[in-house]
Amino acid sequence: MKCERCGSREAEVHIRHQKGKDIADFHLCRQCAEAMAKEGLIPDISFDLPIDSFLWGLFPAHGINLQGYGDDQANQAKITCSRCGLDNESFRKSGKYGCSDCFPLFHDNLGPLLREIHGSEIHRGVRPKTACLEVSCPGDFESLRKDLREAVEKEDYERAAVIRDRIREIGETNENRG
Amino acid sequence: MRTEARKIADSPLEWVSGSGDSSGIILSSRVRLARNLEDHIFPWRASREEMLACEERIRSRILSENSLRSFRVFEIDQLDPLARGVMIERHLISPSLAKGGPGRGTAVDDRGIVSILVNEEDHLRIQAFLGGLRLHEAWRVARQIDQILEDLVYAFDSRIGFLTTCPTNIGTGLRASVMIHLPALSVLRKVGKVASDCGRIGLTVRGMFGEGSDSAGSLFQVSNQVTLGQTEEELIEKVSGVAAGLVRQEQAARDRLLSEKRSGLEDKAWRAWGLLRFSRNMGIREALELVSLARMGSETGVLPKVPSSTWNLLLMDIQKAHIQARAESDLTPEELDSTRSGILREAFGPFHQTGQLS
Repeated sequence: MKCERCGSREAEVHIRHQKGKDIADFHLCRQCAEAMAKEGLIPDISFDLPIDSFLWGLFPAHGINLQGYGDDQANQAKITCSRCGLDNESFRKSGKYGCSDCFPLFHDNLGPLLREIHGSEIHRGVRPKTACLEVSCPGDFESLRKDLREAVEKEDYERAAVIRDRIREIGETNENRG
Repeated sequence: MRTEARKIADSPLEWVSGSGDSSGIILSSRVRLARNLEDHIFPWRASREEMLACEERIRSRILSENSLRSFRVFEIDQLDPLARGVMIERHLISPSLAKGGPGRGTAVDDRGIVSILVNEEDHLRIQAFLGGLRLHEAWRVARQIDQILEDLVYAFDSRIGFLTTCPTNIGTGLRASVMIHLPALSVLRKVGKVASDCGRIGLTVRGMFGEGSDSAGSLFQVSNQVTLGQTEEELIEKVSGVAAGLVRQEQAARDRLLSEKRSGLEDKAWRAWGLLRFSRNMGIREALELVSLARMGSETGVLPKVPSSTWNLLLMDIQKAHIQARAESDLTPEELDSTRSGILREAFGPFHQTGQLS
């Protein structure tokens, strides 16, 4: 990938900036990134750090090896949660999330980490009544159907079964209400 | 200064009464739910103002709820160190919450079943304690509180469940645990094996006093490791099932000691009884060990019968903060040990008359 700014050098620094639901990605070469940091357009990162220092090491709080889960992060210079200010490096060191916005931010796919810890990545327990439970809540039924199709395509039958149960459950809830 | 600490030390705890199944061996059952509010940054990243605002919302929700009117709300910073120590010993707060800080608090019901920890690792830790093996019941109690507080809008993801500060609590946010007394398995040196068997099926065994399999007083906590991928009932059933299995193993170990090493067991139990009845100075570790041996002796019919509630109550009354809270002034370490032995002599006095050598 070429640097978005100069368009000539190879992009080595990848920054994701999130504000609310808006996510902006920057792919820059080292020189342009340093220049933009000096101008205050992107967070100032120590660009002279060896790339290895960004690699995910041991997850100190729980002894869980995160290596491999954060490949995206490893290649990106720094991701900072705009809501709580937590960055990927601090997250890796502490093993803690700073707010509910951190979850989508630090893992495009939380699955592997959750599988490592819990042996599963799908919640099957109770849900708050405020969470989308009814079909009247837009998108929920449809997104579940989409998830189900995806799971079947990926031959992830464990997940497919959970989603199927969930769709049934919602169906029943709505029948009872109706 | 001591009034608050003493009041907390003298307040009831349901599990101490010794009710519930297998309450001789399973002292208590606890279910804890970790929850966060969507609108607030998690405690460890939150500013002072945010912590206070979050606590204010939780507090007013608790105080405005009629069914929670028996709850008393405490601000940790308003409690002196002794009162905090007593709360830790009663498991009403964690040592980490006891450090205090803006917006940190707890709410405790008047029967000593529920405590709601505010702004600890997560915004909310709802815990319910009951005596004996009653995890399902404890879950129902905790869930009732949960359904009231969910009006505050939890951080929840429809796929991965309740969002928590630490990924090890994500999903149900549920930790089900039992406090279990395994003196015979400890004597037979089987606890290490039990702990590794539990580890293989996703349960953790920890010493209540000190770590590992040499926990003082042979008291252990067994709890679920994972919180995601199973329903709350399934998680609880697993801990419950294993706990019931451990009760059977402990009983079998006691039977074995009685049939194969009876004189050794009798000697140990009576020596413990003698020390508890007549000592003049006793440290906490020794006291826990002797209480454990004497309790097994009493439950196996070697020693006079003493109700579960007396044994349970002692586990707290002989701890440091409880002793200090009830003293007139600060006790030196020597005075602490002599007061502790006084508490033990007094506790067993009434039962000594009925004791008969078997």
